[in-house]
Amino acid sequence: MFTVITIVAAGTGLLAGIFVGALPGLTATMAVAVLAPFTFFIDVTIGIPFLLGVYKGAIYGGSIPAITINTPGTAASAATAIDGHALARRGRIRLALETSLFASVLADLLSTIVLIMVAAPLASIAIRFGPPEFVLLYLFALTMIAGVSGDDFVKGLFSAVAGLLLAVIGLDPMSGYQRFTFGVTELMGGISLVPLLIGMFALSEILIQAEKGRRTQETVAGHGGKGLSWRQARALIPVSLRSSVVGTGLGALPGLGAEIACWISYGLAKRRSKRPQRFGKGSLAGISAAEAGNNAVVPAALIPMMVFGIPGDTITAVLLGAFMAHDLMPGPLLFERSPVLIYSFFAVLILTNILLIAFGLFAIRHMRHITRIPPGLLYPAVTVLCFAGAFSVNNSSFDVVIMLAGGLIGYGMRKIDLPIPPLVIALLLASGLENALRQSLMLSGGTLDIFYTRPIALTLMLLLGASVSMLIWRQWNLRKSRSRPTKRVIQ
Amino acid sequence: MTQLIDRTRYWQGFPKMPVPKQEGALDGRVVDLVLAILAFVLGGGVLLLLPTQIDGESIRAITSIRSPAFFPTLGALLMCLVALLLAMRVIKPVSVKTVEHETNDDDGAGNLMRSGSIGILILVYGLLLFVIGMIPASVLFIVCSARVFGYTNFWGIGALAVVIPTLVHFLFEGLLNVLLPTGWVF
Repeated sequence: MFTVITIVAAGTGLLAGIFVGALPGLTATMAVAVLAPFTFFIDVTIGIPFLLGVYKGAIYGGSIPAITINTPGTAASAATAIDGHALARRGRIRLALETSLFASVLADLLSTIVLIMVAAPLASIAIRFGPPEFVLLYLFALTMIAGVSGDDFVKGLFSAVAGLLLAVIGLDPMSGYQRFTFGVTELMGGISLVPLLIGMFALSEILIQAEKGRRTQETVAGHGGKGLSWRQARALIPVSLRSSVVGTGLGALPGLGAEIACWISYGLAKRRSKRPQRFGKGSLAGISAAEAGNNAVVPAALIPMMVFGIPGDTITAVLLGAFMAHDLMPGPLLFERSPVLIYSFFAVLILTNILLIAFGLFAIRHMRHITRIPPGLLYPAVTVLCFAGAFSVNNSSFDVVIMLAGGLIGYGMRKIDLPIPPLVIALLLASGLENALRQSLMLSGGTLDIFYTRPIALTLMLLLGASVSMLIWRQWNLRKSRSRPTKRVIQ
Repeated sequence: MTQLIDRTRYWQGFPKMPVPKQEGALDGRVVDLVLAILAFVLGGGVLLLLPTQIDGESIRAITSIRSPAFFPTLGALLMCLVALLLAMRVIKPVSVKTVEHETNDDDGAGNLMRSGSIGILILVYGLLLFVIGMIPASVLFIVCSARVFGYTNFWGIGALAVVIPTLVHFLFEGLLNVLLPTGWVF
């Protein structure tokens, strides 16, 4: 399973990911969504490692423009820009970039070890789950994603329910009856997922970027000064470890992606620091915390995806689509049916981590200049790739229509601050949720007691209740804080 | 347009931690009202279409687990509930008191115009793909959209317009053996 071509594919993906991540305006989700169709026509041992490499590379690559031009390449690097760019402006650009690389590699390695140690035992527990447990697990995931994807729970709920309604288009999984196909043959298989994702994440992003127009970027010139010394690296280990734990924990929960982990890690590091006044002025601990937090999410987010078939964020949602396109159904049975393949992917994750050191150092020397590629060259090229990718999935012009519709809907959703992740993840989980719900109710003869009379189901029910209560409390607090005077800066 | 709303909130731990506001996002009751109407239309539409779209089924399917309309009905009722929540917010809004409001966005109309132009170009490109073929349509799209994005270097645009469609063609049709849309030109 693990061949030289696998390593080459993972390395190429990593390099492509760093490249895309380093380009401001191209997000990690966009990179994985646009590149996913390329992998459908090649072997699974090449395609999936390539995408894992892209995912990992893009999250790290986002720190390069965050530090050099104060524009995060991906949302996950937003916290890195605060101290990274401050340090770069003091002429220590190389130190900032190497600190970010050091923290990224360390966090990624730790999180991958957690993934390897936790995934299989968790799968052996998950295999005992019946339909009621899966219903509650899906509901927990959807509630969390709806609750934390934006700052408005009701909007998140709207998005998630819209995803569930979109998913009913096609054939009924139990009876085979047509549902809401409006006589269109292409809709009988349901909404084509990958074209929709390309539209929602890539095309809508291009429209948003077009709106921004040309912007002057604050580029830091010069050779970058000295790099990270061993002494400095050793001193950063505690903060990196703490942030790795935060990132791993948050990554393993549905809905809490790298974008959130970087801020929580940064905040925690600042609070625990003996010199918090240095944060925001080029603190190495600040860079380490933000980068360790967001990179630790990458392997951790694969835990719910591989073990339960529940994507933790939008990137793992796209990855889940890629797994399914390769006839791999993530879930507890995956570890029984394809253990060699799964452990090959784990080995790829460790390997890409080692490669990240070499590629990261290369990127620090050479790739920071790619942040200067003008949007006028970048976005037209990405658009062409979007169309080619969407069409190639099923060789269907209808998929291009789905992508265009996804692009327009995604753009509209962004404009009214409606979160996209709940819609996409609900669309992915709907089929499993429907099957599990109907099976549970059939088992119980139509009563709901099956959801609280089984020990695991009861535990999940309590977890669901706690998460709903927490989200309602958070919403209440947010509304209260909004009614207080706030300072707004619109740039 | 970037909105930074009280960033320190990110550092206060999980419960109070929002995601950054989407750039260019609209605010307030209007959005809630539009969403409430949309949710009613979606939920109500699904319920109304049940008899025609799922073989004579109706809202009563909610009581029948085996019915193919069970899950769509449940989803539609949930959507109506969301509509109700949004409508309640419209009736009783939260007043946002803003003490300072600065902006340096001096080209809002121009930016919207550019976004609209790109949107139209993308739609036209989608149509042209199947009329004149992937490669010529891509060349035309790149030339036009690069200009709209404000890039004016003739040689840069020319090189991109040749390299990207050629690369895509060789990658898909040459390497991956996947057919791309063809038209009367190519």
